[in-house]
Order: sequence, then C-alpha cells, then structure tokens
Amino acid sequence: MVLLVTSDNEQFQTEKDIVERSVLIKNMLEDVGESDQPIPLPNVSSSVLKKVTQPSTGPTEIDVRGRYLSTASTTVESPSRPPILEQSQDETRKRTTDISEWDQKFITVDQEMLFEIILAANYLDIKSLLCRRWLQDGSQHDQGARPPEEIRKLFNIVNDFTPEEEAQIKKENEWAEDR
Amino acid sequence: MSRRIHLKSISALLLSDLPPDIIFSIFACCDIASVVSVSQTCRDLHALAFEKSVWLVLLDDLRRRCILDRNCTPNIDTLSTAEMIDIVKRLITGPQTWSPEELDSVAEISRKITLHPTIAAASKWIVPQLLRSGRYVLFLNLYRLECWSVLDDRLVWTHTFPLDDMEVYGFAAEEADADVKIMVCFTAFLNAETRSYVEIVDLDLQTGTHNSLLVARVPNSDDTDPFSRPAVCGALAAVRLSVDLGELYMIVNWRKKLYLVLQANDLNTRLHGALIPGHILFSEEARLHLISSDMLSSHWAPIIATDGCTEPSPVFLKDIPKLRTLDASHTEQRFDSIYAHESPIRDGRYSVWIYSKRHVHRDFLSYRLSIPANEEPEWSQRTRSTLQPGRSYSYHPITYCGHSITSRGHQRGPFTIFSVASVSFGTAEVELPPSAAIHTDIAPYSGALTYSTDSSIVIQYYR
Repeated sequence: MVLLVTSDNEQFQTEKDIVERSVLIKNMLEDVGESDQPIPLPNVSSSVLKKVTQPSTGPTEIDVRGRYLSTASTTVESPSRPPILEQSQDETRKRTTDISEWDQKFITVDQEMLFEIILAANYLDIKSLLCRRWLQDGSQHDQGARPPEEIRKLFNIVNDFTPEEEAQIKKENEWAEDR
Repeated sequence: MSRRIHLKSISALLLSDLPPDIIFSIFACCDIASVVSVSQTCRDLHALAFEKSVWLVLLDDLRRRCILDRNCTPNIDTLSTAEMIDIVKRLITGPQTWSPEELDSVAEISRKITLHPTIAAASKWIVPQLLRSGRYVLFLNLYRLECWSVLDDRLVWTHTFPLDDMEVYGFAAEEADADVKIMVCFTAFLNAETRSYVEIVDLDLQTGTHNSLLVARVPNSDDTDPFSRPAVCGALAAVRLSVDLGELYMIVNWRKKLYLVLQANDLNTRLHGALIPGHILFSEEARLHLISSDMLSSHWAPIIATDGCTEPSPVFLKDIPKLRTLDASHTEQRFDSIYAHESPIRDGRYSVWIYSKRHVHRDFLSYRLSIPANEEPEWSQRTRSTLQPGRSYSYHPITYCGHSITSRGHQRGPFTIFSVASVSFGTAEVELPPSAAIHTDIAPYSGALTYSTDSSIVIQYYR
C-alpha cells in the first residue's frame, strides 16, 4: 500500500500496483525506494484523486462501480482494478469494452471536474485517463467520434469560424466522415 | 495549483485555456476521426489539430497497429501534415489507380519487391501472405510454413513440429510490433493414421524463434486438409472444418487453453466466421450474427490432449446468445465468406464485406459495424452489388475499402481489380501471371498484391 496526500491534506491508502499506473507516482516510488513515507500530490485535490484512483468510495461511484463489476463478471478476464487505471500506457490503444460504463459516467461530471481530471491526469501522467473517451463514444447522434457541435457543448468551446470557413473546413474533412 | 485556481476563478471554462501540451496529449490518445472532429470546433483547436507533431503521433499509432505498410510509407518524420493526411486518406480509399475514372484502365505499379525462396512445385499449397506491416511474408511452401524478411530477402523462420511426417495446409497470422501470432493448420501421419491439428505459435520476428502456445486436435477427418479460412485475433483463433462429422467451426482460446466446436442447425450447413477484437461474426445461411466472445464462456472445454482421440460434441450456434442478428431470409440471400476490417480512423468501427449467393446471382454486401465502448453494437447496410455474368470471384480476400480480384472466364488473366461495392463500375487491370489465379493475397489496407511464381514471391504495390 502507498499513502498519498492530496492538496487539501487528505490521506489515501492505495494499492501500489494501482498508483503505479501513474508514471509520476511510479517514478517517485522508485526514487524513494521502499518506504512508508506519504507521497504528496500538491496539484491534485481529494475529490479529483477519488475520481482517479478510488472509484468505490463516494455514493455515486459505488453505483458506477457496481455496474462496472456486473459487466466485468461476464468477461473472461475480469479486471480487478479501477477501470480507468486498467489500461497501462502501452495498452492505451487496446480495444476493450470493460472500461465503458465507467467512462460513460465520467462524461456526466460537471465541466469544472472534467477539467480538473484532465489536469490531474496530465500531472500524474496517466495517459489512459487523459483520454479520447471524452471525445469519442457516448454520443447520442453518432456511433463514432462526437460531432464538432457536441464537442463544443461538452467543452464549452465558442465557435469562432465564419459560416464560410466552417463550410470550407467541413468539406476539407469530409473524407473522415462515415469511415 | 495556480492553474487550478485560475480555472476555478473564471466562470466559463474553455478547452483552449488548457495548455497546448495537454491538448496534444489528449489528441495523442484520440482516434483520427476525433481529432478531425475537434479541429472543426474553433480556430485555435483547428490550428493545434493540424500541427505536425499531432499527426506524427497518429501515424505512429497506425504503424504500431500494423495498419501502415512500411514499404509504401516513406520515413514519416520527413512528411508534412498534408502528406501524412494523404497517407491516411489512401488507407481509406485504396490505391488511386484502382479507382479508375474510365472503364477498364491499367493499374500503375509503384513498387515491386521479389523474394527468392526455393519453390518445389506449383501447387494449391503454395500460399504467400504479406504481413500487414509489409516487413515479412508468411509463405506456405508446399506443406512447410516459412517466414521471409521482405527487407533483405531472407528466410527468417521455418515452422517445425515434433512429428516429422506432417503437412501444413493453412495458416493465419496476427502481427504485433515485434512478434506475430500464427495459427498453423496441419495434418500428421502416424502409423497409417492421419490426425489433424491446429497449433498457435508466437514467432519472435527479431530472433526467428518461436514458442508453441497451444496444440489442439481437430475432429477426425478422411480428408487430409479439412481446413478453410483460418483466422487469429487476440486470444482467439478459429478455422472452418469439413470433417467426418460434418461442417464445423472450431475456435480456440490459446491464452486459456480452451476450445469450442460450433455447428449450424444441421451438419451440412457451413458456418462462415470472422474474428474482430472481442467479437465474432458468423453467417449461417441467410442470417448474420454478432457474438461477443464472452458469450462463448459457458461452452468452452479444455483442449484435447494431442494424443487424445475423444471426438468433441459440437455446440449449436443457435444455443449461443447473440448481440445482434440480421435476418435476410426474405431476400433469399445465402451468406458465404465474411471479411471484417477495423477502421483505421475510428475506434470500434468495422467495415464488413460479405460474399453471398442468391439463386444464380453472386452478390457482395457491405455493412458498417460499430461496437462503441459503452453502447449497443449497431450495423447498417451500405451497399449491395451483383457480380456481372462472365466474371468469376474465387475467394480472393476483400480489402478494407472493398477491393478484390476477378478474372474473366476460367481463372486465367487478365486479372482485374474491382470494387465489390460497385462491381458494375470501372475495373483496373493488373498484370499477374496465370499462376496468381491459385492464390493472390491482397493486403487489407495497402492493397499490395502478393503472389508466387515458379521461382519467386512477388509483392506489387500500386500507385
């Protein structure tokens, strides 16, 4: 077990192989060697760390975790780790449906939390969490990448193209549609 | 810390407020379709999405997944963003000279590579197959399976098995960066008895050494070659079998050392299958099924020992729960071979081609299959076209973008490339020797044609 301390001074006991999915923490652990010393994470708040490492703590998370587990139990190789940490860096492109519901729920976090998670994932260096899943899937309109309008809404992006530019860009990128 | 406070202090959060390096990291984990989609949201992101560094990562990912053929993709680092996008477009559309504006033009070869194995005799069991990265050719050289390095025309590996008196009849391979998982289908002759097996080997491409991951006995057969259309995908490998019992479809899980034999409602009906990650597509007469590999879990059985002689009891396909079934009974289609390829630009999207028979007609149907991570899979039919009379289709593979080979009349040239999505339109003539009629491999993304002559293996890339 590894003791993590967040920016708001909360302590988290976390399994080593889980936190080592974070390249930052893995390197830190290698630097300090075997030790009981807590690892400070000054850029990560407790609420974000919970989202990142301990999906089964909060009330909404239990729901997610429960659903997740029920999915996992039907798979041949059922994962035992929090789903978002399930994919290691070199596996990020591996196709898996296991992490789906978890990520789906993530999409429903409010925008501020979404940004905090992105920042935390970047800081902790967890590639799989920085992920494409916000930009892909979960879309009601399309079975693949989210359409631009939906990404604008999700990330609060202001469309600053002129209508002509927008039409032009849409045309240039037509090749990628429906493939 | 300060960044976090900054974000909290403004009421409207903007994606463009994130530092560019984070946005790059996000792009790096996205599929190409998502990056293109984000690029259409605003000016800042449009500029970032078409940065060269983003596309270097996206192309590197395609290369790692062995979707890019290294022989027709020059050194990626030297390319501009526009050139890299052109490479991706080509994956989607196939070679330019294969989509002729006018009818019956001649396809233009951009590169020709010749390998020189010792070829014993012309035979049905001389089968070359270019691995997707273009680095190696697996070559079934009259009952022996070999692996040749394309770069230096060198024999890297020959399949061996403890039994000397054996003949390889088929194989399938799934390539990763440094190794390739190969399913070898062979029959061994022991004390006047023939026994057929499938073996899964893990071949290290650097050292040319292999690990045998699994050997499984195939149900007894009078025919020394009961195998058709072997396939490997992830932990699963599958092959269609015509054995004494009837028409079967065998699936093995090499990781768990389990196997399963499926049959249609009656033992005379052939099941055709295609493996995609986590799923299997089956065609059974006029029905097309999508099955999650998890749904097979209660039917798996431990592999029969290599010297065991227990006959397996086949599982009925109708007893396996399906994710989706498409019923085409009303159209009187009889589905035959299935080809399924992942989309190079969209995760969880597959292009599925099905060869089908309808009375005297020979049809090609195409479906778009989406298996999103968190939703129900969905498929929709895209095209259906009918092969013209006088043309024959002899089970050459169909590429991601729907190209295949046909010849006029009796398996002799001229050979033409046609789009199975629109067979009545233009075809592009390709120059191949008559021997290419037996086996010509078409690479699913690059479209490279690989065939053998009396003395060599030839790989032809097209412009």
